[in-house]
Amino acid sequence: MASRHGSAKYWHIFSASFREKFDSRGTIVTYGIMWSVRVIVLLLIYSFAFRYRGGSPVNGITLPTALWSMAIYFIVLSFDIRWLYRAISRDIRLGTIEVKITKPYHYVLYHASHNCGRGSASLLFVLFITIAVLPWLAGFPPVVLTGQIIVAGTLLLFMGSTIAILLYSAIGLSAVWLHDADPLYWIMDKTIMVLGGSFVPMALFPPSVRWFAEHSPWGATMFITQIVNPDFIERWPQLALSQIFWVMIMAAITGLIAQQANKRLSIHGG
Amino acid sequence: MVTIFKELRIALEILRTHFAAAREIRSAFALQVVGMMINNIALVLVWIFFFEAFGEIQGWSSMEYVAMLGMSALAFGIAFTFMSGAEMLSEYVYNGTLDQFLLTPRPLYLRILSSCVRVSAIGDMFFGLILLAIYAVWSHASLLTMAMLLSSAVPAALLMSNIALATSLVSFFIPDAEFIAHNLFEVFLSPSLYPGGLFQGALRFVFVFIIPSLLVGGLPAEAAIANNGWLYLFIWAMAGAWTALTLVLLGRAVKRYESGNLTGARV
Repeated sequence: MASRHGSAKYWHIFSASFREKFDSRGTIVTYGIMWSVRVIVLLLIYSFAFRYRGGSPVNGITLPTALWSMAIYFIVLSFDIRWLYRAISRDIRLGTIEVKITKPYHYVLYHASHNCGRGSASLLFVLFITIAVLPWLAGFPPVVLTGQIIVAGTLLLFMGSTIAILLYSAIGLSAVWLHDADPLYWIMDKTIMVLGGSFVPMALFPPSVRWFAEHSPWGATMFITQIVNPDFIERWPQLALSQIFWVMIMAAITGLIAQQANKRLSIHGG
Repeated sequence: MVTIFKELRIALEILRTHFAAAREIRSAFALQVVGMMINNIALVLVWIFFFEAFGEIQGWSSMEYVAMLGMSALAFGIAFTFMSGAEMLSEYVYNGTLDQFLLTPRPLYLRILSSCVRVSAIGDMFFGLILLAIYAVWSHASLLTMAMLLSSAVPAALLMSNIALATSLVSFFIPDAEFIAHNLFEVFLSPSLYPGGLFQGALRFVFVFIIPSLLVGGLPAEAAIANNGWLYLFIWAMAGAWTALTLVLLGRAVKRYESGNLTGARV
């Protein structure tokens, strides 16, 4: 096989993983059904809650905005970045990392491309369900999709995913020092769940919590959910700046952890 | 009756061995228990934010949610500390390790349930007890309310483990069904963590009789808070019905099992 250079090999890993996952259509459909059940239950619960409040907006957001925000959270979740932790920690526990780091690719980028490729198959399916079904059930969010919103949304999605890759990689690499890094993963995952706006959109948070979410790396992974908020167009540059800051900080921290982990692997290697 | 107690004693002995093995790596054991307790705080925070935004809904506020989550966490903790094998069944079928259970002269149901322990579930159990203690102080709950809450954990845990086992049975019909079984159980588990008062009308009916998520958190909390004896008995009756149904389904499903012919050392 011809050698691949630069980003081309990661694209190849991404597309191969995508095709592999796409062949397991049963798994994708099961995931889609489970995703739909979760969103429909949230839809019914929130419909009841808004009705109970007389149908008026809560914290400035309406029912469709809240539902679309949570649906976007679960769409992004299907990207499978969180499984990056499992892949890395499994390699460390089984010792297969010692073989993989000698290969001509960046170890973390290999796993990120592999997981994102697999996740993209599920993501496309649930995206299709969302676009086909959610407008009928929840209505459209009060946002007009302009070129600026699409570009801003893409940027926030890309940088949020980058932060998530760095966070989960750092936790995965910590398995070099810990017998079992699962508890750290659970805490990280649930912090993203809370501050990312999974079951309660960020716009419904108390002001101090919302401020913290918007200035923390965990909240920053899911800024894309704010694309349906009425004030998104004014606020996205501030959100993007926060993400740029966290991309730099997390890249430095994860790089340092990877460097130290590599040293430890060298000591114990053989 | 003597036979049942004898079988339960054997199941407890097996579990004791699993615990002893899990405790060997003490730091990992402690980290799993404490980590799970910290992890669960997230759920409380999410719904506290919800009630901060919406206020009290249908008699439910943060306080009732604390009781409900305490109940669910305690039930989950009991179910998966002592009956964690239920969720492993699909893996046993896929790997062919179910053979070893079929070959022992013990009841298959108990043998599967007691086949492993999930250490992190101990953290869920402690977390549930802490939340129930917080609820007792916060609401000045009566002794009757607390007795109803704590005792409801038994049928709720039975329900959880039976649903986990029932959803795992799909692996007898579909090859390599671990993912499907896991997701089917998630469909049951996720709504059990949402505030029970938000389930009204048809949604409530579905999540009581078809997917019994409300029976492990929402309804026990409502029964205890309102001191409603009928509702409390209904939860016990439903747990009994699901246990009977799971036993029947397991008996039927296992007839489809063909040995994996797995060879290897079993300690």
